[in-house]
Amino acid sequence: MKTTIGSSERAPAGRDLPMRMGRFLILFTVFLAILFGLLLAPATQPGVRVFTRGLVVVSAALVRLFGGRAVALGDLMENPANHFGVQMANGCNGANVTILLWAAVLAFPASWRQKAMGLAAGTAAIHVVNLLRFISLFYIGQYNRNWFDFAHLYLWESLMMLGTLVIFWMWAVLVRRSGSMADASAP
Amino acid sequence: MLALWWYVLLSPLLGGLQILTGLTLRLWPGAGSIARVTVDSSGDWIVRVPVPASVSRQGNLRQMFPSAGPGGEPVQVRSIQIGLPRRMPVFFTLSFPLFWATALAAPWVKRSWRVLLCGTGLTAVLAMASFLFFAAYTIATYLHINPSGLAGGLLDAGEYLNTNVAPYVAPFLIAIWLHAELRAQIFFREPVEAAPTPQQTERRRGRYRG
Repeated sequence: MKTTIGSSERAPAGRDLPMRMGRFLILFTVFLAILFGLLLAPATQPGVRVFTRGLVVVSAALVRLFGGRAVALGDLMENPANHFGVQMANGCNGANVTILLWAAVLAFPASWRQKAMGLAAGTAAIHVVNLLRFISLFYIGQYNRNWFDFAHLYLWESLMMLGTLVIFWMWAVLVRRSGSMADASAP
Repeated sequence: MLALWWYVLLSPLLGGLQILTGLTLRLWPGAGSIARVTVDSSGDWIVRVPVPASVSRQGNLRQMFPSAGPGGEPVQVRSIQIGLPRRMPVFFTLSFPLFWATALAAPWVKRSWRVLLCGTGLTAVLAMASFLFFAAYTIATYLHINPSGLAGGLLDAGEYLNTNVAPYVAPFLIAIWLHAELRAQIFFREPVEAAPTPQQTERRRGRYRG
């Protein structure tokens, strides 16, 4: 027969959940405001632009690696054969969902080591998916404009958000299983 | 859920959003019968709202709408009508399938119907508020009456979050907020299995012997 361990390590009682939720929501909102403030601040815009252009360069290199034709022109990836281009705008560089993940991970009760690992692995996963998204849109746009609009505005954005939620959820489950969640009192 | 939304539910959701937005605008103090939301033949939304007297007296508006003749009274702008592309209201209804997908994927319990109902209502309010904010921001930009400085920066940030973040994030937050089981799955620590205590071991041993 399986047993659970003693009261000091038991799952939190029902009355602890609202407190934990409230604390998470407050910290999540604070971190969200700080991180979005940093993203939108004029001082960080040159850095954001460099990062965005870097993503376009990597995307174009990946397309060429797999036999496709693409060149990076600033924040635009263009097919030199038909001059179809896809621009990576500010909302398309994965920064929004990365900030959401960061705010959620930082607000969650876990050790700093777990948070650092969650941030690093989660950020890497988000940007791998975002590169796939950008490259797929580059091909879909050349094939069908209506499909491009649907995939760009609704499908991929929803998948990115869902992916971020799944990453956070998986990380939270790992933290809970490690047993250190209840001991972490500081964000 | 996205396919169901796109092919089946989009039209009724847009109709509902139009009615809800129109009613809210009419209930706005001073709006009366001036405020309305209509849809033109191309599917774009036409929003007509009253312009408060304090706004119409601003210099920017007087420059945009000068008096008809020399020395005449300046034009009194009482309302403004603006066309907004169809993709924006469509975009704001995206929260519905995202919420439904999350709520339906969560553990199904007796209260799930209530969660679905309340969440759908909240999502409708959110979609309407997002659309109205977008419309107000667009009108303010068109009339050049956006505030400057910190207030302007906060308004721009609000608009960025309204059109880039809120429609994707809010459905998940609503689902987590309303669905206790989903919430518990994220925030409860799972009971850790432990080795049996010595007493239990003894009991088992005895049973095996017998």
